[in-house]
Amino acid sequence: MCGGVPRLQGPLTRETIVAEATPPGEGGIAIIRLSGPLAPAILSQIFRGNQPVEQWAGHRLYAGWLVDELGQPLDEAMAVWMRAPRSYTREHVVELQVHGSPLVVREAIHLCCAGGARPARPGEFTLRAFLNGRLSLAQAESVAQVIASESRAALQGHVSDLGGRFSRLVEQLRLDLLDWLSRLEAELDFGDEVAAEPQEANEARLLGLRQRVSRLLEGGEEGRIARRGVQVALVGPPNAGKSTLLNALLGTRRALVSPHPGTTRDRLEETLRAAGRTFRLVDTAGIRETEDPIESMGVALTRATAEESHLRLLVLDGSCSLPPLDPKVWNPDLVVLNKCDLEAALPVEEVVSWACAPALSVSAREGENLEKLLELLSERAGRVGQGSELEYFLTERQRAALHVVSSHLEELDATLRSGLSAEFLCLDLRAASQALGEILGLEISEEILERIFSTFCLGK
Amino acid sequence: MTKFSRVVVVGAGHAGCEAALACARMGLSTIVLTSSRTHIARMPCNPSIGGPAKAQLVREVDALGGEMARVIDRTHLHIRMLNTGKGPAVQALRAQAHRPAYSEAMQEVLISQERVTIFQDLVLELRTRGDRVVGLVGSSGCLYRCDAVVQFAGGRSGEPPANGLASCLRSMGLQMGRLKTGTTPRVHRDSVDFGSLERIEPSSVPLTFSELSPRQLPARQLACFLTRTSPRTREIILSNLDRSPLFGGQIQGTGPRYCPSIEDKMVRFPDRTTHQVWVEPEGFDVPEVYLQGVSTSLPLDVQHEIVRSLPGLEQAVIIRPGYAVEYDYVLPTQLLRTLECRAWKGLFLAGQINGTSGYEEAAAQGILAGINAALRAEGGDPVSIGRDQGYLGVLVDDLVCRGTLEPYRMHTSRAEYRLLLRQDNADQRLTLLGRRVGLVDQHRWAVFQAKQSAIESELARLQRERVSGRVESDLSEWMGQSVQAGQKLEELVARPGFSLARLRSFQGLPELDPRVVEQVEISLRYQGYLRRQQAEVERLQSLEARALPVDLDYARIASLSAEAREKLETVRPSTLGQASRIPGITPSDLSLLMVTLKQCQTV
Repeated sequence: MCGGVPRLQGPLTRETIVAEATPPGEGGIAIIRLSGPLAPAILSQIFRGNQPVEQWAGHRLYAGWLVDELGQPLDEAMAVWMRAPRSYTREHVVELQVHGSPLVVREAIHLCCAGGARPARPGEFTLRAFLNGRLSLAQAESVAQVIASESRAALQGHVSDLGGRFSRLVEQLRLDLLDWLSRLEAELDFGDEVAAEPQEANEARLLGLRQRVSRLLEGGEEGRIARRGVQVALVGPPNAGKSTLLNALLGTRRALVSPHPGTTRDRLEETLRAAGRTFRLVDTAGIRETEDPIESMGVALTRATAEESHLRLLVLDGSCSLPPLDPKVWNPDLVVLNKCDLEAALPVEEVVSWACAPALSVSAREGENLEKLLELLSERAGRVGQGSELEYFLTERQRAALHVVSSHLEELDATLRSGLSAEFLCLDLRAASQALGEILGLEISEEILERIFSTFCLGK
Repeated sequence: MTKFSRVVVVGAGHAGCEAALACARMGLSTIVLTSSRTHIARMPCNPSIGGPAKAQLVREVDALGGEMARVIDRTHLHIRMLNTGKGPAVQALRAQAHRPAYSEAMQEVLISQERVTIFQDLVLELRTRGDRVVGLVGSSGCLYRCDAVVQFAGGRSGEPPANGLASCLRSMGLQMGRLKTGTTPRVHRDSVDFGSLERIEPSSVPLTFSELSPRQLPARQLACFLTRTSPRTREIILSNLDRSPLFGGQIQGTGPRYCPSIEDKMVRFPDRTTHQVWVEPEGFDVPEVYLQGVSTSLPLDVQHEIVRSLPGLEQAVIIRPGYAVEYDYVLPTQLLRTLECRAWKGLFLAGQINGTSGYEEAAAQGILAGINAALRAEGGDPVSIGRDQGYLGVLVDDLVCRGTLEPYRMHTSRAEYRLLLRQDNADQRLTLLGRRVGLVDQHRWAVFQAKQSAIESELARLQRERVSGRVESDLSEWMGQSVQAGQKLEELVARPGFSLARLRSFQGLPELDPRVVEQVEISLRYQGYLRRQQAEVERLQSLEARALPVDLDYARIASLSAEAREKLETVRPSTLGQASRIPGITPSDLSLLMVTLKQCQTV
């Protein structure tokens, strides 16, 4: 805490670390390296191949997909697991090869952190290799040089960001945390001079702080969207031609298409650049009452996908009557009346008033009106993903620290609700300020005492 | 003339007393040098002991087998628990001593302690051989030969200045700094209108610092009083600022932030219309009354005006004016965690000489320095105390890793493991260590073990037993909260406000020692938080456990930044954990240290 916060986590603790191993930038292939006890477990969470990771042979390259928390594929990838101690660091090492776009690399690192790894410190892989006896003692000097040069590089990155908006927001947040903390510390150490902060005041402060942290994370999220594209969910009854539409828009045959209803049970996702925007089109399972447990799971997934998407396209078969679904549940941004090459059974006006959304007739099979559809999409997307005032890009280290802050504030909330006194609140408050201090390369230590004495007139 | 002993303790303040007692109780002949016998364990500032973080230190001294707690338990005139509305980690006992009685009682303990000899003498120079201190020469001309020396500096009103000591340490190549401190004016008891002041009563239940003191209410206690500065006080001070040596520049040392002079407060906090002033008795039959909160260096005529501007003190007569003093201290980053000087084997420093303030801080360092001086003389392995083991550990670690630029006072906010370092569990943290070095006697050890086993068996019982269906409703009614059949008793006790004592009386079980009940309740009620802190301690253990060689040549670590190198060379941390706490040391610096360590180990 104040006097001497052990602010560093030791590499000797059994933490798993992750970093991009190839030089950053848009190269052909990027390699993401994980080292530590959790590496295999993280690999099996984020990588889908033909074989479960546990059955892999060491040092063999496997092909598959990088998948996100929901199991959605993000990118084609290759992976190799070097079992401890037969690796560079003598720990479990996993290397993932993905396409070298900075976006994919960031996503991959983010997923590793979500799985329990933390971003590696400058030169940490080399350090571990050395400490675990993988490098000879004669190489110590070069190990030291790696550490020093990588930290210089990191420092430069930090300095260039210092003038940045993100740093200012984080610093302000940290100061407000410290402000609260020193208020509480003063009431603990100088209880006879500083009255306890009322519960409501503490609650109000916490609420404000939590909102700001989530805004910071969301702002980072905005940055992410700008790079990942606008997510568009294609939803609708079975056999309305969603997959055909997706394929038509992409000009490929990515989705499995067949005349049998219910073919798309999983979610499929493709990136499309059109009308000057990046769209991520997500094909979903058809919506219908079903007894088939797999398919009903698919419908639940469709619901979730629709909710998290920026835009929802309700795809209907224009040659059939209105489907038995409640448009309010799906809240479409646009209704697509597909199969306009067949005889129309649905007047557009009726659809518009039923769905409370604009409608457009297209033919996925004949490619009719697709350009118009893309234009409408772009228009509907508005400013989504084009960056907003709040947009900034979080590095993985920053994101990890903000998540730490967020979870401490959540714990703090529980403590506050249980009516415990200030010293219990300080526990998470300190940890949160420390995590933020780490992003900015600061330490809290003496600062709290300084604040106590400059804010409160204390003393015997 | 030459005198021989195993250890010489220079100075008999609070640090010196604990150090000398520790050495003698560990079986070593010990000489104590003091400028005057009447200066033993004096309280030149407010005669009060304890308060937040300080009470914890007193209990730690007690747990190690020290004396301060037992003496204040016998000689206080007012005792109460502070922060009672808060959790156990920040509750703190505070006592106001009957000043003359405290010093006399400590003198008696020291004089009657076997193997302690007291001489009235001052240090002129230290005698060394190589890098070892082997004795010292007193101003009497006497040569004291020994294996270890413990020093602390005093020097307040009425004591000869300790400048001799400072120049002697300086001549040994130790870097010194200068600090300032002040006192408040004392007024005559009979000139205070106590009836118009807010009255603070002492505790009506028996409270003690020591595990060994009998728990009974003292025959007599006094109240303390509270008043506040008036607008007039402010006017007087502001219009006389040019006469303050603190502001006029005559005194330039760094004063403590937590103990600002009243001039300081008025200038720094202009918006604050009023400041608290505690009016506290210094003894049963002592005419002086201490005014806590108006420490000042203004001239006497202004002090008179200030005091008389306080409500209730309109007629007050000052019998001892307040003043500010400067004193020398050794930059404590030159010490090891054992409080031995890095450069001089056998020379231990404790107390004000290390830049700390407070009797409790001094006593705590004194006992640690005493233990290590004895171990040095005996050739045993030195002991140090971790930040997770006690405020004493935090204190020493802060001093040696970070140094201090103002008189260092302990606050609970300095301890990162605050929830673990409670005044109620000091014995669990340190008695074993005290026993290992031979300072905890059979009696204290037996008391400790009995308490521990009572705690453990009660915890085991509560874990084992459940609420039976037969008593469910009776118990709910008895406790005033609903309990369900099948619930473990430990779950019930973990609830806030659920009294274990009441549960036991429902079960028809005999009453337990309240201290045992307290431990059981705390460990169940705050389990989640305590475990979190414990886990944090364990997580950082690997850094704390990695020792750095004392003679590590930082200049040879090529990639280290110049700043880091300079800091590491000054502090010479003894572990990686300590290195990580030096301000300005970065994670990459630590990584570089690990690389170097690995080389050292294998080469």
